[in-house]
Amino acid sequence: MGWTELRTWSVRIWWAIFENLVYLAFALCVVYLAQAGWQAAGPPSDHASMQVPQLREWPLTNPQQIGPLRSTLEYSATISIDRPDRWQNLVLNTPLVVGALLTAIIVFLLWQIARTLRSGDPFVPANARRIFLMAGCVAGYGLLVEPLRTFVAVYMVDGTPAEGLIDTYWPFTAAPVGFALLLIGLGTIFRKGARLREDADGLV
Amino acid sequence: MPPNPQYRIHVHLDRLLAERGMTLTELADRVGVTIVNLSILKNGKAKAIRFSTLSALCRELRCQPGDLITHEELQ
Repeated sequence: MGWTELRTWSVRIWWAIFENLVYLAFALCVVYLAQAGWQAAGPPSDHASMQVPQLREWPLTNPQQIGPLRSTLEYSATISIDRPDRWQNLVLNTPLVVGALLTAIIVFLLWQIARTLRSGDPFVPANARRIFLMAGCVAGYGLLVEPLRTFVAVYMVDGTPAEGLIDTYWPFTAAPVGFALLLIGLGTIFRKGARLREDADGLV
Repeated sequence: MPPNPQYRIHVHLDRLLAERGMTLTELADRVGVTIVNLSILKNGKAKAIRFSTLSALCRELRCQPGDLITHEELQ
């Protein structure tokens, strides 16, 4: 076996390992999503809670309970409901389900890309579309999940002594948006690469 | 070989090979193109041809580009 052949085989083995690792991650995401879905839509447990994104001010001394709002250590708080009904359980777990769903979609798309890497031709139009979709999911995760948590928190404390304590702000985090922009750049490169590949296809 | 329906270009490689008594493998060796690519050209599946390939084919087959490739006139 020559050096080039050995190198080709080692690259193939590496891509096969990578593909299987991503597949494993996807399988774990599906399990996590199923678990989150069951937690949200299944029979309510004795206790449901959700971390509160941000309080308007911190008059709470640790630990303190105001309505369903429970302050915890280090300027953090949770909404904690004992024996929630089905609706409360569903609403409290919605951000978790949305986050898990977006993560599963991102990892699924990554797995699909990894499959084309192993076949030796990642520069296909489908991969460019997958990367753009991943960028959308990453941006959606960063821009929607946190506001959803805020919305849920505000909704859950509505009409309780904790009403008005939760800060209704739009938590803009630069990291997911930056990562989404990077992915858009990568998707553009893939699209151009796919076009070049298509152009060279059938050239003798 | 029938041309790609998208364009009316005929490649007469099989006829030229028969006239020269040459095999596709032999021509591929002489021209320095893989037999796979030469088959693509022969079967009318090629979408484009490099000037270097065309030049080498004409040299080895002792012909002009017009002998190798023709454009089908509309009826």
